[in-house]
Amino acid sequence: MQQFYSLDKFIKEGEQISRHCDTVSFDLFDTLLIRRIHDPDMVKPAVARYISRKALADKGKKTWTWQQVQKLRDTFEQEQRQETGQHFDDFEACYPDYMNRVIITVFGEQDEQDEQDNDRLLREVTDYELAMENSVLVPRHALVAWLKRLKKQRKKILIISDVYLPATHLERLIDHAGFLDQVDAVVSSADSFLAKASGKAFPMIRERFALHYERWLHLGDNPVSDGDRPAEFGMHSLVLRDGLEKMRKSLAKRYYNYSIGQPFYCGRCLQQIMLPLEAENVPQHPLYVKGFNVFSPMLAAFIHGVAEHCLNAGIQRLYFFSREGWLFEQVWNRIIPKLYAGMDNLPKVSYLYVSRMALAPASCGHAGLDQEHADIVFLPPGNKDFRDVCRVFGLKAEPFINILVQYELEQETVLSPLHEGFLPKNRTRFNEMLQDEVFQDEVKKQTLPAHQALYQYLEDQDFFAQPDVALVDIGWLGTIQRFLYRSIAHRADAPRCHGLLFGATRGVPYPTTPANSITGIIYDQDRFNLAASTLLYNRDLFEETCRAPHPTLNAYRLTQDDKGYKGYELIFRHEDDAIGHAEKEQDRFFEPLQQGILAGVEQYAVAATILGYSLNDVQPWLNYLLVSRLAFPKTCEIEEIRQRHHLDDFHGQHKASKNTAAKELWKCSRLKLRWRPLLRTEFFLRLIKERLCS
Amino acid sequence: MKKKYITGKNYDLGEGEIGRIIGMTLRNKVIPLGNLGGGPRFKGLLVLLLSHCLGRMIFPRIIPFEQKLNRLYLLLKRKRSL
Repeated sequence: MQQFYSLDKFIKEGEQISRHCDTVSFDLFDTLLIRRIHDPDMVKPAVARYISRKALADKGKKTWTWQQVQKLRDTFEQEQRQETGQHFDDFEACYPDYMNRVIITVFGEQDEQDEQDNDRLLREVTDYELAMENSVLVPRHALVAWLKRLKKQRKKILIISDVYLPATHLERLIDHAGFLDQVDAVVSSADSFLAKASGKAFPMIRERFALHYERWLHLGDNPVSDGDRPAEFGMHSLVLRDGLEKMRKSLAKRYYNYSIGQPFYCGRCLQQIMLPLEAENVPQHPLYVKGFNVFSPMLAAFIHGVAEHCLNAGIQRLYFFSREGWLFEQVWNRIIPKLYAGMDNLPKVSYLYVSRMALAPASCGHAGLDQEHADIVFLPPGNKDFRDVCRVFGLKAEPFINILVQYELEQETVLSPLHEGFLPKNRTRFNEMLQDEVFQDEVKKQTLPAHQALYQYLEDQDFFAQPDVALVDIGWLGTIQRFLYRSIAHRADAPRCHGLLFGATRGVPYPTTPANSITGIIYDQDRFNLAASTLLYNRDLFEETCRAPHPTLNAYRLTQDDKGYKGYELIFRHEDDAIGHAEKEQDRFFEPLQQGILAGVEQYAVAATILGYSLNDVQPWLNYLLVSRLAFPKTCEIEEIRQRHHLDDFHGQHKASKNTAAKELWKCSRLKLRWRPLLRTEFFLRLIKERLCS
Repeated sequence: MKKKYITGKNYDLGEGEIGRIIGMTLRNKVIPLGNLGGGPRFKGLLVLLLSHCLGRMIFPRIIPFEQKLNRLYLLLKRKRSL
């Protein structure tokens, strides 16, 4: 028996010896397949949670906590090992045997129907356990490549494992790893209760496959089972004790142990499990890396929080909003089925085509235009006068000329205090005009078609079919939801709208009622969270990061066919102008970032399922990520990720004469960022002051 | 742009996260950065820094003595608990 401490030397020696052998057998776990986690038993609580959820869904039965299920599994496994130990040298267990006992105990078995149901449940639980195993197992690239070379040399390739999973289950793991076709047979101690540890497995395998000990090379990681035992039979054996693998596991274990007592490390531990290993870890675009390491935990945790909120509130329908919702929906589809596997009351999700520009006119079709909503137009400095009001609410200005004259206003009269020429009396006149019935009638007349088209679209989307809906958007003021709710509020079947935002900055007070509310999941102005408030440094970055590659929705339009049937169509923005081209350029620039996010969230789902974390567990780490990446970024990081274009039709094209925009760290010059060491601290102190004052 | 690895050679997040955590922890001592869940402890950070930075050098060298070291570790642990 020879021991090696590096993979290269191990393979080199193995190649030498294998020339004189016709059979090469490999240990499976920690040799051909390595785990992302330091302890293989970490998969078991996830399976216990799955069974517990299944038991909860099986109404009328006793409620089982996952800890109870886990204890049951451990007890039955231990009992089987003790029983096996009485007849064999090895204390082995077989997964289907003891798991079947667990299922019968949890779900009960009184008649034939129960028996069939339990068989089905055992299959489902096994599928889940193997899926979880697959998600944490990574093939060792160099060893698998060598195995393939050996197969080409016509060697008999065996995989031998001392584990509770039978060979058929191991074959599924190897198949997922992609080299089952290279293997002649898989042998597990769970089938025969003869293990490598006692050495009893080797004579059994020799007899079964008619092998010769002297022409048989065995490779593994355990000095006793894979080294001494085969050597006792005169076999060649090599043991790999890889120092780097030990280092990786030691770090994973340390992060895990720290996370138990220090909440800060929970998210870091999660990210350690998320890391790609072996052949998965290939050089990527820097924005892909940023998406994987920084944005994916934030967005996945946000969607995780959305799901928690919906389950707690019993919300059965969820709509993703606006263009950011496109990415959120993909994140949901990638993580939630894994995080809540076995749960049958997850909300139904879909994407809703909405935008401020499309909803603003529709919101006036029934209720007209009130001062509160007209004021929103003048929040961005780019909007200046009545023409901007018309642009945002989809109105034609000509029919209003007489009314404007009546109130001593013109289309060009400055109504925004951010622009030169603004007179407060003009704004007062404008507000008086909003009270005028003739004005309101004209607004309603012009916006009614958009209003009706929106109704048809929402009915098609089953929007009115449930009492509560969750509306997921990136943020910030909840304007889209405000317009949407205003459009439907008068209907008797209007659902209660629960807005769930990535960040609720609430620059304008939101008209919260029991039927219409917004909540910030990662950041909410109503909850003091200094660290999370750093997302105010660069909100556009998050918008651009999550933005869908399709153009924004401009309007809902009524259509009419030959028979007079009124339908609707969604009008999207043209992409052939300068703004459209700039958007496309921005989309191309952030494409690797989005790819990194989508790859990262899949690993988040695996890690969070294994660790059983909720949003609260990872919140301190998310706060750290936000502070370190947004408030104290490196200069090169700002340059690398700073978006090139940020476009918004809602904001007008006028330039404000008064400089209202606060200085932003992310807009500072490279020189300033590099050579002013206290620049970031200055900005952060300013943020603290603002937060405390607000 | 030059391509990067997601997992660094030292099994840290590709951008040298441990150094950044230490920097932020020190900064947190001077100005409050917000709710970081109590933050990390310095002893743990030091161990992690050593493991990440010197692990590639240390682990392959000590692995032949793993069992002896493990016995020593258990002995020290027992002595400490007495």
